[in-house]
Amino acid sequence: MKKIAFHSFKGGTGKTNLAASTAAVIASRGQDVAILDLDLTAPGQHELFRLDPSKEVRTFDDFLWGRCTIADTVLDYSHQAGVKGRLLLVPASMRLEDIQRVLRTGYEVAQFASGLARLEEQYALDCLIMDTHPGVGEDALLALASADEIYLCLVLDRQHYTGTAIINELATMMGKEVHLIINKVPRGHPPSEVVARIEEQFRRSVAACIPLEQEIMAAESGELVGLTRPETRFAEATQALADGIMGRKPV
Amino acid sequence: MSNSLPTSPSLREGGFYLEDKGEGPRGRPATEAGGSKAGSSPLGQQALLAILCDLQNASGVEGSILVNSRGLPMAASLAATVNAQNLAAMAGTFGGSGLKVAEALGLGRPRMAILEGKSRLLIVNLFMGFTLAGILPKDANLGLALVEMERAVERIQETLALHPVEIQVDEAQVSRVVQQVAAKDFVRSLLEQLGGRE
Repeated sequence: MKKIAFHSFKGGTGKTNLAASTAAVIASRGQDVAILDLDLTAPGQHELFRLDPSKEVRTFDDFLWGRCTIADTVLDYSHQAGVKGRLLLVPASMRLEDIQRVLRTGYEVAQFASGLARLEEQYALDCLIMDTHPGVGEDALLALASADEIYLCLVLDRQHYTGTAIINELATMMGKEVHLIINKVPRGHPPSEVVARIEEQFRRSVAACIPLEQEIMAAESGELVGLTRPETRFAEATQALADGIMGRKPV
Repeated sequence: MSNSLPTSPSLREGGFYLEDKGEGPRGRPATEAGGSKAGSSPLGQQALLAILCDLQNASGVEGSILVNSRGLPMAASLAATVNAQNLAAMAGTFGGSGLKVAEALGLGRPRMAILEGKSRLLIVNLFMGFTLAGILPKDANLGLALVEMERAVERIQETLALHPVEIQVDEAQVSRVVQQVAAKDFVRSLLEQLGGRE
């Protein structure tokens, strides 16, 4: 099982959308993939998968606190998404008390690691995609340390550059393979120039450079646009990301 | 634009970026600027041509051409005897070689390259994936020509609504934060488990 982390230093990079859509594209090709919402203090995957808020579900938080097994948290969206492979979601809790507990006490590394191991054992997954919490907190670093490859997302904004360099450096110390994704590129920035400048600065390959698109904004993070809006460049990028992820061997 | 998977869209292996298709979403034409219409509209082409004509009038440049990152001419002001496609290809190749040489030697990104022939000079300005090439006689005022070509580049950037990417990384801050984070017991433990260096 390949373990992939989608991460960013700051929020607002489209990381959650990219992670979900890339997972969906991988599943659409007949492979089994799970997406794990590790943004425990600001979850978002449940919105993309249109998880019914009235439905009581077990979450990764519940597993971390020992309230349930990892299998209890797994939701199968394969049929709903119409994909050939399995598309599984392990959501994070939206309950305020759970979010506050994560912030207050964190969680046990061993329990986290056992969750990943059991997902691998019980579901024979081809790929696990982790949607991390932005920044350099311990939860994010744990996710990065657990990943085989890191897809580091940023936008063309001064607030992102130094932070991205920090994450990149930490990932290097961990010996991780890092790929950059530049998202929401505004008009007026030729992609080749953007890619060249970013690669020159961060000394990492750019896996995708995606323009800002009205169609993606219109989706309002309410759908897996990699599948539902294949005509967009965002969707094309997730196809290419899926190529890259599943074409590479685990580190 | 088809919905099939891109076969060779990358600048480098494994990468994906979206300018090589020559069209925008659902077949709309797009320029290199990711949708700016200046270069693709007749008015935009007139504006670009005017810039090249001004360049010739103000300097000793005999002919000039603006080439996109795919080596295609966007606008040209050349004598009838000069083949624009050929010059675009040659200028693009020359500029591309300059980029590779500069990268290999660690010179930083080159802005300009000059090829000196027996009777004429070829000057190429490299900016934001574009190439502005000018041909001038060997006895022309090179200093003036260089200044005027820089000025033409600025005007082209304005016309195409191009914005340079200004990436500023506070290296001292990166080093400080990385050291602080790596010094934490939790992270030290992670790094030890990974066998990474501290």
